[in-house]
Amino acid sequence: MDTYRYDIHIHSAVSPCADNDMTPVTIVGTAMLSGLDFVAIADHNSIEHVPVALAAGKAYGIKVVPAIELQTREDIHIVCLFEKYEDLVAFTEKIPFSTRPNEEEFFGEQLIFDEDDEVIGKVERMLLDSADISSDDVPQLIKEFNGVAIPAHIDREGKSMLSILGTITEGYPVVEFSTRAKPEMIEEWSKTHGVIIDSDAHTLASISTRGQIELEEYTVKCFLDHLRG
Amino acid sequence: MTVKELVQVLDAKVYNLDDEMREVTSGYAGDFLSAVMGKAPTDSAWFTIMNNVNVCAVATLAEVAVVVLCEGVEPDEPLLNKVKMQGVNLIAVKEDIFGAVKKVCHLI
Repeated sequence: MDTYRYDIHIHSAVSPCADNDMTPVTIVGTAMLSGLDFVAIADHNSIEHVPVALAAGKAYGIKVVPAIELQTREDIHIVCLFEKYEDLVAFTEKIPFSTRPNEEEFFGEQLIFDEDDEVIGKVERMLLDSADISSDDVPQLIKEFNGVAIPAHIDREGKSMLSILGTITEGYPVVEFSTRAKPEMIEEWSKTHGVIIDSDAHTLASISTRGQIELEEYTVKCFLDHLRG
Repeated sequence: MTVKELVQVLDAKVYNLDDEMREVTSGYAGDFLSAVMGKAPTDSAWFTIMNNVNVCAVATLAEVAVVVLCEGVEPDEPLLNKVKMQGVNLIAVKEDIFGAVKKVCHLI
């Protein structure tokens, strides 16, 4: 067993609230230089930057986990992780995302970058809107695509399943804490749940190396199997 | 006023009425169930747009008299089944929370 460092909840420039220097290649490169072994770009309701991140991961020698941060009907944020990009795509095709257009002067730009950090487009729909799926239905759906769904930053007030529903519902054996969570809270929850700690970074400086996991093999599959318990 | 009278004044759609003669003595508006749990008064009418099965658990726990789903929100199947099973009063209105509360606040 070896210990690996991870940060699997990072926002790239396509998320309207993230810095525009958060290009997929810059994030993966910064993650590698920070000493992370696993990294994931988990944008709000978007997977636009995952392919470039995966290619960058190969080039830099760091494992990139295909991911999305889903916002459910209840305004709950759920980090969804997959072994393969194709599974992530198939999963998102089943999600009824909102089609309301973004108003970038209020919410920010939703820019798409290529592998050379050039802007190649933008996402028109509003990524901060909720998808029309209940958080209760996500565990069942994600199973079909071999993914793992993790309620995000449950130590926070906003968009947290614990704040919004008052509990962590069935089907979520793992919960995520932000790097600002109190150690007592993390300890308490680790008695009943798997626990991960991520940055939810919207800026490069916020990427964290706090998350650690012991694995038998250095693969995304092994990482996800460990989370599944 | 009773839940039955509340239904009439709001012209609400009834999804489950287990105890229509239950007295409504106050009100609460909010969607964060963690907040509702600790703050909604006993025997209140709880106005919300939250559509999730846990609405039933929180309504039971907080002992609210009736849940009023606002803005045309319809309970999904798990919520509807649960309120029927647990005997929680659940009604729905087209108005938003402000509009619904405005109609009844002087009567409670």
